[in-house]
Amino acid sequence: MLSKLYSATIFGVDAFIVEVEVDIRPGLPLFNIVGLPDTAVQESRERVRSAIKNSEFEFPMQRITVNLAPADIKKGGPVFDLPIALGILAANGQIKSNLLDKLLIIGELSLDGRIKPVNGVLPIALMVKNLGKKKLLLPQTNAKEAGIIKQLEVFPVDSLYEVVEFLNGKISIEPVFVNTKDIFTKSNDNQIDFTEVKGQEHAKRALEIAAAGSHNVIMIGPPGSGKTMLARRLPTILPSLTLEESIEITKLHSIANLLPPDTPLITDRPFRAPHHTISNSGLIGGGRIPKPGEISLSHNGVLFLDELPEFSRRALESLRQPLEDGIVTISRSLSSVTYTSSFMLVASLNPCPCGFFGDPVKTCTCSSSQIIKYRSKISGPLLDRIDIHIEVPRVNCREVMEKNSIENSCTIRKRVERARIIQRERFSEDNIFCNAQMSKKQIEKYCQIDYNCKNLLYKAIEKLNLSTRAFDRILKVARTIADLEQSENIKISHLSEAIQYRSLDRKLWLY
Amino acid sequence: MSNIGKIGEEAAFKYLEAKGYKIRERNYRTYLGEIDIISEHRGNIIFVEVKTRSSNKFGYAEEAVNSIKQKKIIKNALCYLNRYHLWRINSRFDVILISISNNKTIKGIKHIKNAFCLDSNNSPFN
Repeated sequence: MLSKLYSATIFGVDAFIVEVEVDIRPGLPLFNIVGLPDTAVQESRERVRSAIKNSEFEFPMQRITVNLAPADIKKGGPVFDLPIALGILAANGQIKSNLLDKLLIIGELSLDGRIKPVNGVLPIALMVKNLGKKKLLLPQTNAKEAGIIKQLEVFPVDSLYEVVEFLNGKISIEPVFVNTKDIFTKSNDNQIDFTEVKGQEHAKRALEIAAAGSHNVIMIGPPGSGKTMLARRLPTILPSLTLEESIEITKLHSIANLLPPDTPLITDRPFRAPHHTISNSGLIGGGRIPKPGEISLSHNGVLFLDELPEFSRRALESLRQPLEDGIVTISRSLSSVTYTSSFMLVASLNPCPCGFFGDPVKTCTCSSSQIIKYRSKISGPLLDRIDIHIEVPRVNCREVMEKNSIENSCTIRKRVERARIIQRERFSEDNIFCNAQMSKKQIEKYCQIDYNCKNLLYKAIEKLNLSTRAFDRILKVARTIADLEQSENIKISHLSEAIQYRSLDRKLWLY
Repeated sequence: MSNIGKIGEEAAFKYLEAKGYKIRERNYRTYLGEIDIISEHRGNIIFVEVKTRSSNKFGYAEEAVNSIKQKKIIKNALCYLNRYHLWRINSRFDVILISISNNKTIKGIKHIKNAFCLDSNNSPFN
């Protein structure tokens, strides 16, 4: 008596189908799972045994062999509990259904037969859609996550008993559909707003440009000048997500088990602010079978590194390649996984350890060797990859507190959205979303500048000693500024504003 | 041996004889342990373990023949095969499960043919 069902598991960001074959032969009771199962899968034997008994079904006292195919890929996690239990019941004749080979089944069992939620449902649902299968049976809590994919019939189930009744045709289950429009129109009222930051108009303008083109930003200034406050308010002016971006983000969060319950899709751009004690693999991703790190979790969103020089040098330098490529490949002896990590880096730092170097009022107490040591944490190559450098100076208290007419986040966001729409139209054939993601070829195509502009740029590069990468970055920022002003061509004013955002390249290192 | 065990073994003996099995040994005992019944059927040597239960309160009878018990039976069987030079004959291991009621009457007999074989779980060689 043999039964065959389909389940799935995750490898990296993508899912693949696993055939679960269950064979029951006469003999002394034995329950074996083969096909490279890891410990969690081996332990599912005990869960399956108890769940079947406690759901008032008969657990066969015979030789049971479960095979998970393909047999050469290591399989982990508790997703196979439900398919194994159903396979046993089907091989034993307690389920008679022609639905079994049309379904894809995932779910973890508890000892009393209830079905618990699992990780990585969205990637599995996407894979099911791509393979042309239609039906998915999964835990109630995960149902909404899969329900956003329109072409699928998603059956939510709560207990083993319910599943068997359903398969035997005794009860019917309503498939779950989630309307993605409803999710996106939900109002997101922010607790924080840009009006709370008084003064620092120059920094706000720079952040607006950064948000519009998804450019990397570094903020430098004395303590208490508002760097962290500005960064925390950045998500309130970021453009809203498209469905594709949202699915990409949700996939990564689903794998990392960070999806809040009852949230089928992440609709806000992620804002991750890891503490500076973060390890290298915590930032980049890692583990024996690599899991996504902070840079992947902030994909399509913001990664905020407060007090940049406090981070370990190794962790910072490992940011270089993902910043450039938008993806990160983590290789371990067992496997190699590529995660998307197209994030916007926002960093803040003080000019020196005491924080007051260059301050007009307070005197800096650091020795020059201390300052050199502090700043050497941020290497030239890393700084080179950051498009916009903002100086956030100390503000005059009286002057600032009496200022009133400030723009709120909503107005800024509208301008940002408008710039993004222009970009999306421009890149409709290029498979990218914003200016910061442009490749060299695309820069040449979309960032044409006239003779005067070229002259200015060459002069700036000579005078400021900029690298060729900085040259490309300036063009990208200039393109964004032009988009914000809805200008089709990059004008000399856009270019000169972009150039002045490279201030850190030289000024900071002169002392 | 308890009384219940004896009743069960007697029942198994009669059952096998009725099925046409030729009984070679009963309670074959060496220092390694004991095999309840050794029989011959269609040119095969069959080693039979008999398990008798009056209730399933402490688990199924099937579960009582675990890998430790299997290992003992296998060792003993190898001993037997060696002694009578029966290496060229196929042999197998059966389990007969007998359930009896409280007043010692037989309720049911279940014969599991080829109940186990040598594998990594019960091999006496590792």
